[in-house]
Amino acid sequence: MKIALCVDNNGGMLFNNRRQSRDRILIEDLLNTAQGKVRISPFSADLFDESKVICSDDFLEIADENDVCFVEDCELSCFNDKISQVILYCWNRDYPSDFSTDIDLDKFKLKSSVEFVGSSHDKITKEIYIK
Amino acid sequence: MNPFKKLKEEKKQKIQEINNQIGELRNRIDGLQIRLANLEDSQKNVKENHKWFEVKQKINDKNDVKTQIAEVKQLIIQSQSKIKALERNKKSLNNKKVLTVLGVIVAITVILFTAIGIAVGDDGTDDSQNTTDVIGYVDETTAKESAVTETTTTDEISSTTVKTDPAMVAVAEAENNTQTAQTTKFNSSSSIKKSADTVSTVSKSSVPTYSGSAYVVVNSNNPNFTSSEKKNKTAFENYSSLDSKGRCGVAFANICKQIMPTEKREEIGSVKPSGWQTVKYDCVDGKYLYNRCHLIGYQLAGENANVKNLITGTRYLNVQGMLPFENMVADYVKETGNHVLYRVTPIFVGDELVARGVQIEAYSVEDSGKGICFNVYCFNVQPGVTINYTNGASALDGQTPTTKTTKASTKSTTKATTKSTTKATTKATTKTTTKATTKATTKATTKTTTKATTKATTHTPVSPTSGTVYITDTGDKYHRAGCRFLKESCHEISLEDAIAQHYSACGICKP
Repeated sequence: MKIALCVDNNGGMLFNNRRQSRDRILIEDLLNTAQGKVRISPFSADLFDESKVICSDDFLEIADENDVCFVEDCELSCFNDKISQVILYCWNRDYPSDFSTDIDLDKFKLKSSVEFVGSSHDKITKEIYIK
Repeated sequence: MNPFKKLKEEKKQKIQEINNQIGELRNRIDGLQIRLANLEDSQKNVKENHKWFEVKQKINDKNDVKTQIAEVKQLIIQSQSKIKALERNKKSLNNKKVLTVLGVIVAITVILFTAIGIAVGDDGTDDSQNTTDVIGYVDETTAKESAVTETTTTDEISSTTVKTDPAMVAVAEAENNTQTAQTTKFNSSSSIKKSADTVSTVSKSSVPTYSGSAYVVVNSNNPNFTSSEKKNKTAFENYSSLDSKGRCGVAFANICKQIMPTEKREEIGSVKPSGWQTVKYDCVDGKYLYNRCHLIGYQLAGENANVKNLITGTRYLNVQGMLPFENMVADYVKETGNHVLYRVTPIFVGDELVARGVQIEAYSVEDSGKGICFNVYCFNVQPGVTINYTNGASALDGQTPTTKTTKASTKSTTKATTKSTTKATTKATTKTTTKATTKATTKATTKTTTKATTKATTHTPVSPTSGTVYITDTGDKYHRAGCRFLKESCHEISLEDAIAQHYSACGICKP
């Protein structure tokens, strides 16, 4: 499966059970990249149009090889073997965090890196890593 | 268990609960009075605080402040009447205690007489029923009063525990302190002195202890805004007047797109907050120990050279402590267009001129805190530097902060260290230090310089020694050559100019 996640400069994702940030253009980019429905947890439901996602609590367990899963509040270390690609969106900002990504990117190779301007962020970097 | 004893215990517990509720309400009133004083202050200063607003906006804001003052006064009156009601309940419970005891005595007497009556052939009546009735009566009444108490005060207590001034914060368990924040506690309001001009001072023991994290979570990350504040969708900014020592008080704003800045920030070097000193250390990112630290960040409300919005804050407080929270709020507001209540309280100990830290509370209004909700205390410290909060004097760790010696040794240390790191040899360091110290006027300064230099060269991640860094067209960081963020644009600039223009070091290439 392919994982998409958003991190700050220190790899942080959440603070006080809330996402650090959000960006409409980032979501549009993700949907374009996925070219199909994105799997999400209920935590992320408010970011998406219902018709463009498949929302379930066990979205990581049931995702197959070609599915794109948008992750905000889940640990991923136990799915390392299942993850074939990581789409990492970097906010390029410092935010407070008490939950960070646990993906080990050393096991992946950087395939591409693109920067774009978000709806509320001056620069978002999108890095794609593959195994 | 003896039913009488049980009853006694229950009553004791209820009275204790009422006492706790009264205490919390009193603290709430204290907090409200502070807020009232702030509002009355800002009412006088609406013109000054909103001088860039149009006239119509000024009038609207004046009316908003007036409305808020009326609401706060109403809340004070409500809290006072609730205290009176609770005290009446307590009194009646005490009376019931007496009644219960009397009732028990009467019951026992009746039983005895009944027993005697039976023994001598008296048919007697079933006084146990009376006993039950007496006790039942007391119980019912007590239960009713308790229910009433709970009904009328539960919301208040829940709102009290999440409200009040920075001192009234709940304790939570300490957590891992490496990366995540710790929950912590300020002592009760009895340790807070509230000066007439609303600067928040606490006792030294109340201040959280720094243990490696730039901030700690307070009150389980629940801010202390009132329920009416949480519904406020009107833009406002309130800055407390400086006290007699020139210290800042609470700054409170409703952040929204309307009050965010549209122009680039100008220089603020003319402002000297309380305890201000200009001092440099190599172990400090950007070298200058202190920044003119905005309480409400410029990116949130556009307040720049407002003396009521600036404190003497360390680089660490400004960049590692407060900035991440400001970024989170700013980006949320830009993305959603919502309002975020944002309050910053500098915390001083006694008469000290430099704040020990700041408490930041924030809450997003339109989504009832789902987007933004936090309550944190950020430490005004600088790792590697000891600060004398009385006057802002400082020294590297292990030395005594004194104003004169610090400045002299800092200057010479800076020069010596810069030269030694260029040469990158210990011999060079020693020689350079010696040269620097021969220029120094006192033996004490010489020793200080030597030690300071050794520490600085051993432990310090040194900024680019060439004095040249790189910035981009859009970012607010400076970088080493070759940093990945320089792909789109790359402009050479001296380190001093970068710092003067308020660029901060890149967290990735760590220049």
